[in-house]
Amino acid sequence: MPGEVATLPEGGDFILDESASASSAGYFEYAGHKFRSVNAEEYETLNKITANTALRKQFGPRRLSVLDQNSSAQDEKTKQKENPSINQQPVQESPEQQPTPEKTEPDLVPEPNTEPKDPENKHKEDKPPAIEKSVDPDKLRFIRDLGPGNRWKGFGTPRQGFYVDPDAPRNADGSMKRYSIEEYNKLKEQKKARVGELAGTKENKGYESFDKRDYVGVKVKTLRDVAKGPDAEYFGEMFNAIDKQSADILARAYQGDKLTEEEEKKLQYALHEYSKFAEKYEKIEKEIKFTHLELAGRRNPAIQRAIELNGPAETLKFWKQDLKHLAMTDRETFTFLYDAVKHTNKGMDTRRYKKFNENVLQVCKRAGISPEEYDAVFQLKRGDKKQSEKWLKLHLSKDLTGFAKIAGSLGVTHFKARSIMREAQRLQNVVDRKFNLVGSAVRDIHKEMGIVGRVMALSIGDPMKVAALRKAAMRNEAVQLARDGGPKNMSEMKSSYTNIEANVPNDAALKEMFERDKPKEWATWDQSRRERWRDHEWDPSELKQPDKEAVPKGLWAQILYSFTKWLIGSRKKKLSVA
Amino acid sequence: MDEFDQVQSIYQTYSDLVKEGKEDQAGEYLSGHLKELPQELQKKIVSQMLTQSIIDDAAESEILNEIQEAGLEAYEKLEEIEKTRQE
Repeated sequence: MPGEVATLPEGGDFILDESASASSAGYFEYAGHKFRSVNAEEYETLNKITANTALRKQFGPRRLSVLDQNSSAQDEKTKQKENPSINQQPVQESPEQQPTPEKTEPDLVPEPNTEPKDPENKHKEDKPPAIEKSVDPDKLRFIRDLGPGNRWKGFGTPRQGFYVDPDAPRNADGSMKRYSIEEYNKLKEQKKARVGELAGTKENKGYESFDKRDYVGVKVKTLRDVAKGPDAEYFGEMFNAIDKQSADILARAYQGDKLTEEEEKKLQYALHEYSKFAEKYEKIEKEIKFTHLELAGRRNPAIQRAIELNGPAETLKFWKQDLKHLAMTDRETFTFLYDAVKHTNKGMDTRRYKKFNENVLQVCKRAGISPEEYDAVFQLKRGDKKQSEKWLKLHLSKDLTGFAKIAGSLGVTHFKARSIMREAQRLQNVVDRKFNLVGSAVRDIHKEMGIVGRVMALSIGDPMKVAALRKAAMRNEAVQLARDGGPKNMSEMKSSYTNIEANVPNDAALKEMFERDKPKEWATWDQSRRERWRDHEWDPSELKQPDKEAVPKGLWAQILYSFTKWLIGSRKKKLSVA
Repeated sequence: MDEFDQVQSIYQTYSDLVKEGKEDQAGEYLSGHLKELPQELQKKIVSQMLTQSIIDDAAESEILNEIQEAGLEAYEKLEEIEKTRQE
């Protein structure tokens, strides 16, 4: 789509305007919405609203300085001036070294005479300090920067603050190392890329980019270590997932035959990956408990029945066994699970939860809403499902719409949250942007607080409430599917499901293919070698069995794939290797 | 009906439901017929259900955290405005 941007432009002030055209100043499209720069007239109106300097500083629009500079939002120089100061600070600056609040807020309405930039500082802005690769963004804690006296300083910008790593070595003066939001996002991206490499995704060239330095801290096993016992089976799976010809390479390696340079590289890569993922599995194996079964069962009645079929103890046992296979054969999914278990175990941030919980109780009281009302409404017992869903449809839409409205009016909502709430916004048709906060009475503010509190109340506690909220918020198909990393619409999804389906031939046809494809060395092979070829290496194109990588994400697709694999494997096993 | 045909029959019904977009029904159907599947396949499917469920739960809590963050911010700003009105 022309004008569509993948990431939001830095600097300038933009408003959502569905009637905007590509010729509008600062026009761009993001997440299906049209945006443009605030024009001079609108800027003037906003100025009138906040004519009082104090009010303006406190409540006035931020990020409007692009207009003060009388240049377009796309102007690179202006962009640099508009960059939040927190991103201009040296990475390891201590809190005491921070500039005064006024100077740290360049995106507040600017002072008329902005001093020219120090060339050295400019250099820093152009090239932010390098971020240590070893920093784990998931360990960082966000500190909200409310300025002196813990007072809020205005609205209209994304949240302000910085991240610190409480466990990392301190600065020389004893202060904690700081990371700006921008740096935090970079760290997240870097980690995502590393996880991708680890998981053997497309970015990873596999053994071709193998580098032993990436395995620091991993106790790498030798071929002798994995030659016997259960390791042999799992290592075989890992190697096979890396290279379909692994069985042959491995057999020769075990015999002590000389391997080619490339084969040796593949073998070493497989050993390193095996060691790394075996260690990860050992960690996760200890952390997965009955509580995870309960969690999954509560989320989905079909899973609950599946657990009851074999009993929790047996289910937990075979799930853990399957996870080890998963760690060897599908490192990407395993890595997702690994991160998810860590995340689940960490639980909700205590500080945030406590603060939030207090707020919820407070707003419920003010808005005349009983907190118990939610417990009563969200007792989603099986028998009451229909009634509960009806209630949810009515009230969640209302609450989400109200929340989107107020958040949109305040301009504080992140675009991600906006996209989540798009469905709610659609229900309301348009966000009421005429909502005049400045002129509103305390009573109105309490009412809006009630709306915010009610939505937030739904997002804690009982997983059924959470699931209900998620369903309401994520009803937008495009958002849901994009999150799953799968196809972008229902027809694409159907077609991808069709692609997973195997064309399972009958016994006679399969035998014909088998005889046709037998390798020249067949006669020299023993039975186990022949079976290995039949079960793992033989992959005739007629079977159309998709590669694991080609299977779309999501539970249903994965299950379809398992069925397909079983059906083909079952037919193959009937073929005699005699 | 031998084991292969049994599995193929369940697979076919399940697959049709999924392709029609009736995923909830597909899940219900599958859980109702799990015990008719061979142990090996049954365990594989249950494990997949559990794994995906935990991954989904973490992803959802991330989304909800975003909602909470945005909500808290809105709330704080409202509080501040409220104070100004009362002064």
